[in-house]
Amino acid sequence: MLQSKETPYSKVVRDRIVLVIALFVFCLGAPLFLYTTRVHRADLPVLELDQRVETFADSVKFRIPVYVNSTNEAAIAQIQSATDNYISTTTNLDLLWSLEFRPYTQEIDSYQDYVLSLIEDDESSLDHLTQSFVLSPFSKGITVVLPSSLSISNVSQYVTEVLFNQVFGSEIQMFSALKSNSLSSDMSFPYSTVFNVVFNLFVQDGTPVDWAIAEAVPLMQPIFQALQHYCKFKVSTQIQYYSKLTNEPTFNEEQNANIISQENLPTFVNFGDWNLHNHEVTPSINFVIYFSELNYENIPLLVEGSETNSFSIPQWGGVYIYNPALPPLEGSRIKISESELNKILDIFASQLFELLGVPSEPVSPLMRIDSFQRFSSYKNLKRSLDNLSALVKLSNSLIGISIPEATKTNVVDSMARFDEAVQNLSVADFSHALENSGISLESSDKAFFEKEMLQQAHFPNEHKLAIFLPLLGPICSIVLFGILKRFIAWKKNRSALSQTEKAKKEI
Amino acid sequence: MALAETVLRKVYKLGLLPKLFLILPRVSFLLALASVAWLLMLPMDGQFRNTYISENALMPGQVTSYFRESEWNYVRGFRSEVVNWNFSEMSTDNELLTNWLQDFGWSVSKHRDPKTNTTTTYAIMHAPRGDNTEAMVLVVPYFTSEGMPNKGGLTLGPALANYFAKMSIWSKNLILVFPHNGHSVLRSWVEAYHTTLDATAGSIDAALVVEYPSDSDAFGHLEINYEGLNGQLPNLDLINTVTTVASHEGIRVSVQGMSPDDIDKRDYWSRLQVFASGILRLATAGISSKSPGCESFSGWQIQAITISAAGEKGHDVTQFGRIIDSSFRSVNNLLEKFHQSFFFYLLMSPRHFVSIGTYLPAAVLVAVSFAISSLYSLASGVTTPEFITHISDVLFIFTGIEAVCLLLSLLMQTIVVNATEGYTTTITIVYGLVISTLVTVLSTLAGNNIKILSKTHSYMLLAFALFFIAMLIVSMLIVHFALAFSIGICALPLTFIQPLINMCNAGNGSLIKHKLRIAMCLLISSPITVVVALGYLINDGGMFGIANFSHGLFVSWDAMQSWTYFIIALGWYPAWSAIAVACIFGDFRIESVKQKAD
Amino acid sequence: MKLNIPWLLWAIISSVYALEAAEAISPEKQLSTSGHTNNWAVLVSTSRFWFNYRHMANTLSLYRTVKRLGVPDSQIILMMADDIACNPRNAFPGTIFNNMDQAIDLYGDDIEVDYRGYEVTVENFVRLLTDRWDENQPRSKRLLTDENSNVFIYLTGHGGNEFLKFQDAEEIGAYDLADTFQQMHEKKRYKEIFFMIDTCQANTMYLRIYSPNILCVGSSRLDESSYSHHSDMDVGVAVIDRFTYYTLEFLEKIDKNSQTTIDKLFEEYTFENVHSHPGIRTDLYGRDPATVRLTDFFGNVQEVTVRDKNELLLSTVKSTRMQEGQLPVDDHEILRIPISNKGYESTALHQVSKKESQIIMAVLVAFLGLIWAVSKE
Repeated sequence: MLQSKETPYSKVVRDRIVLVIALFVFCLGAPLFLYTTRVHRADLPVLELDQRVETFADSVKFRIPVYVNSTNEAAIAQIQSATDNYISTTTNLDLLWSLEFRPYTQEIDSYQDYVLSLIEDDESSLDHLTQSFVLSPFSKGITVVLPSSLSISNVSQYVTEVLFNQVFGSEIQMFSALKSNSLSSDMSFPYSTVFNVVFNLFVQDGTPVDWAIAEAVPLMQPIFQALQHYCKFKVSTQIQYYSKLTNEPTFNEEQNANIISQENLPTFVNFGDWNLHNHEVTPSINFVIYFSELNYENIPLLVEGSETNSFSIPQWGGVYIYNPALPPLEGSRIKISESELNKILDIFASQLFELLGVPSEPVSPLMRIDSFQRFSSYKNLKRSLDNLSALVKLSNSLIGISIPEATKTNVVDSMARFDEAVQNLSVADFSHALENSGISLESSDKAFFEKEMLQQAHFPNEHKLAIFLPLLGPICSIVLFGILKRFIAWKKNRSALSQTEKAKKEI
Repeated sequence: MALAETVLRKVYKLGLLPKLFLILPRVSFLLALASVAWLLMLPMDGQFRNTYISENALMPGQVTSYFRESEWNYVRGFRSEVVNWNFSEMSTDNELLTNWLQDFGWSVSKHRDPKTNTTTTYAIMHAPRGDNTEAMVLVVPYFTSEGMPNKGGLTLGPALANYFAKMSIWSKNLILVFPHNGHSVLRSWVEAYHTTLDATAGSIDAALVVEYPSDSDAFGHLEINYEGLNGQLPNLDLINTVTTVASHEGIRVSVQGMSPDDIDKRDYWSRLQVFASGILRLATAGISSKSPGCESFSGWQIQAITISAAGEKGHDVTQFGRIIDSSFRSVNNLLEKFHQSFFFYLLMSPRHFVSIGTYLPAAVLVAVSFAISSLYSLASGVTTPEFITHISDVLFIFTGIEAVCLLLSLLMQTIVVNATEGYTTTITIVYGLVISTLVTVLSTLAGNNIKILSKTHSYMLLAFALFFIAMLIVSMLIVHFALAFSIGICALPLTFIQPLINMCNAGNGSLIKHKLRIAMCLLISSPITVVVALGYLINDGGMFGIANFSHGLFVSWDAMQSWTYFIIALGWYPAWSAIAVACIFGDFRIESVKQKAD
Repeated sequence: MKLNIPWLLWAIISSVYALEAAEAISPEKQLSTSGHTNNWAVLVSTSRFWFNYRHMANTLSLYRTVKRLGVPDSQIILMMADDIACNPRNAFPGTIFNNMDQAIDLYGDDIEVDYRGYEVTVENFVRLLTDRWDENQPRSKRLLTDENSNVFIYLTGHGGNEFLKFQDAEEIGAYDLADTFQQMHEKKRYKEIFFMIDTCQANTMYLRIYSPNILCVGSSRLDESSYSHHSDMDVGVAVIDRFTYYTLEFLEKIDKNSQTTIDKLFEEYTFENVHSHPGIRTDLYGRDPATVRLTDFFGNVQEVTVRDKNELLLSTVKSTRMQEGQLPVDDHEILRIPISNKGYESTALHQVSKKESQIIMAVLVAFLGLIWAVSKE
């Protein structure tokens, strides 16, 4: 073997340099490289979320207080057990949804809480056991009239029937459907905290038409008030002229009227030509009053099969076709009066309920809105967790996607609101539960739809290799081989040493 | 390193260097031969490519042209006027044409050129829906390249102007130019358009020069001319476009003046003919006064070709109009300037070409051949220390020669350009040059009495001149292949001089024979001989041709901004002179050569 | 002419056989339902420039068709990378035709282009599908689908192996597209997707998709071009691509209430028609195409409801006293981990800040100093 002319000192120096470079590369370079080239991914509160998903069935419960006004004290317990029994046997809503019967006191207001009044009817003859009920069209009062002779079990059975068929029937249906994920609503708008309500007057020709909309809009206010926990409404109005129809209506000689056939209704609204755009970010509910130019010739324009001459378009809005009661006088300017608008807005109000998904039963709007609020809270909470779970799943499956801090903030916010809503539910504060659930849903959506969370440049690993190899390859190989060489030399040295020692020992 | 070392040692050991040195002249000659063979090989099947439209946007022939029956009457109407014109008079001031164009909605302007003392009428149609930044040009010279009145062209011009104005599809502006001829007059208009003219229409993407000398309704085939100045060529896509459009009309296309009988011939000889003619024409572009006109647009990034109607019968005049229309529509489809396809190519036929990568090696081989000769002549009589000490002297001598050439060339050019009788002056100068050449050549035959240059200087001057030519070829290789290659081939006999000298020194063969051969080599490779011979041979020249060609060469810079004159006068001629000087005043006698060879 | 007779014979015989075969193998399959409640369409033409007229025409043709079959404009997102109707080269300004007969002006009334010109980018396309926008993105330019939406996605332009060019400047890759679909799936943004792509090497674009309920069709396989169908000699450009042409030709025959199944459309995609090998991918799709109605994707189930009775809600609600009330608070504790922001405060870098770069520089200098120190004698 050749003996190098190196001094031992220079060998040591070389060893040291190799060591320092190796330390530098592995302790500082590599972490820095990984650190600076990685995609920003905020840690999402996965554990917390999982726990909420697991306990969803336990935590989200709807217990609706019903105050029973009855002389018979035993009836409450009886009715309670009958309803519980009903729910557990005929629906899938066990644990999720229940009624809680409480005795009625004077302070209870039937406009706020369900009040079940049991009235014994002594006047009816024994042969004619007539049971009847009255649902208040305004409040949340339920009055059941029973013959006094009726046994308690019969009473409770009847009350159960009334409650579940008449009062909570549609609510239970919707809850069941939602729980089993078989709900498909075509009509209603998806949840939003704010809706724009746009009242449009579309006039077919260019003849000016007046409408007393400024005076009429306040009439809608109570409706908006009633739905305030669900969402806020922003109202705007507009008139547009020269709004041509896409399809010519057919003239019916018998009625002396133009008829818009059922099949033409879906294309009645001319999305392309009518200026229906507004640049609102929140969804708009459009209400259209259409004024046909044939009104001047006293030929009404009728919607086929509609008494009210109106129809609603799913997730879009409602249309009312205006025909004046009296033919307009020649040369006079047409004005749609406040009283006429009142009627029209009445129709629009019903359409608004329909478009938001408020159940159509029972009569009392309070009861309907109440049901709607509970149902919506449940839906929102469910969706909110769904969204967050989807987000977590996504962030796990797409390694390249960045998770900005804003997403995490929204996730945390959404979960906090979720907790609050659950808290509200536990005390039967349904309105606030709805509000919180709405914000929770909105936050979860925001978290998912975060603008920065956009993956669009997929680089296959070969490409990355091709980019980084010329950069890092030479350095890495030199360092690696240097270390390897030193390592081998060191090993050789050691074995030589041990051999000499052995030799020494032998000697 | 070790490998190189081993190889070098081996080479040294085996004495390869002297052997190599001996065969250098043969290598040089073989390379020159290979270069020619390379080019001769290209027209063979499988060596060239079919042309294709490379720019998707062009879509030639995909549109129906309506320049047909309804436009017939316009064409005939205009022609009935045009045939009565006195072309030389009308070319400066044509009221009637101006009125016509203005009636069609074109804005007419005039360009007065003091140099050629002519007025050029041109008209602009701004594209109604275009962005007014680009333009296409249709040029209708009053006189064709052959000097004939361009009757058909001047008929089609206004007819197309009328037709174009009716269409709404233009995205680029249209310009119609009516110069007196397609040569210096058009060139001065193009220059003025880019510098001084007020009425302009944006940057010009493409230009068509139209020649239709006959006044008959019928023509036989289409001739395309495309060579530009200084080795520039129009984008191949433009030629392809016109060829495609013509073939859609069923019209045959010829390039390089192929006769109609040869168009359909698809054999080696016809392709070679087109190919060779292409090289020659490209090398002499801008010199001949019979230039087709398209070269006037060179240097401004404008793709221009000349289309001429040739032949007597077969197709009618509106078909010619349709070719123009359809080609313009294609160019109109472009989004920007031509940028796809090829800018350097040589055609074999309208539909076959070779691209620069294929033909470039030929010129490289010639250059290498010169470089090897230069090396040979260095190795013949100069050692390395001598080389280093004398290189500055040689450079000084060569620079002196170069300076003389520069002065002379500028002087001659100025004289010819400013002379009132250009041709007479040219002939006088040519006589002078020819005589001086002959004197030079003859003086090499004279005995070696005047030895002004030392032995080393002589060898080095010869070597440097050869090297200079090699560098000249290399530097022009890409931009002006045709000229580089032509100079290389014409100057090739210069490479034989050193071997001949060495033979003299070796004493084999008769001295006078060798001297005669050296004189012959000098005579043949002189640029003056070549220019005279070319003038005599091409374009049915004869004696008049010589004058014409030489005159064209002298004024080509002034009239067309062609570099060719200066490349010859400052590249080729000084190198030739340097070799002549070395031959006449040089001392090549060597005793050591023999020793070296041992 | 002699040659034609055997050819004719063969043609007759084969067509007879084909007829018989068709009858033999068509035991009517039961139609399946998708259960969707709304239809959306995303139609994208990604190429610019006049000579790509046909891509615009392709897209507008499908726009017209889905609209005719009932998808409302508000649920069609139309992305057009260039405005060729107003191109100065257009001999018929303001029109786009998809056939040389120029019977239908695709650019006629009621064209709502949602994204035009330079808005048609990969980023916007991905944003559209995943609905990741600025807060002020107008709703008309968003794909507001839900778990009940059937989405028809049509792309046309210039493609290559696993990419599709956008705007001559950028491209979307097959992996990006697949991930985008997965994100839609996770967020329940669709019930089913019918993905159709007409580009060169189109089939490579859908190979990487892995999300369920997506039916994919492409016009040509790897290393294959898609061809145009014919040119209009007056417009001077090719007006439609073959694949789209035959798609449209077929769709023209169906109406809103058609029961025609989607496999009948696929039967049109023969090499003879398209001049390339169209691809169909059904492994992700839950249903048998032979049982799927075309109107599941091209039509719209949206039905209006006619209001019959007036509920007089206004007066009813007005007469109720809407009051806010507080209910007795009932303590009800749910055990759960509290959420605190602390544990999640990020430590990752977005980019190296100036300070950090200074530190790195300082470390480097120190390191060099160290080397100098250790090597010094």
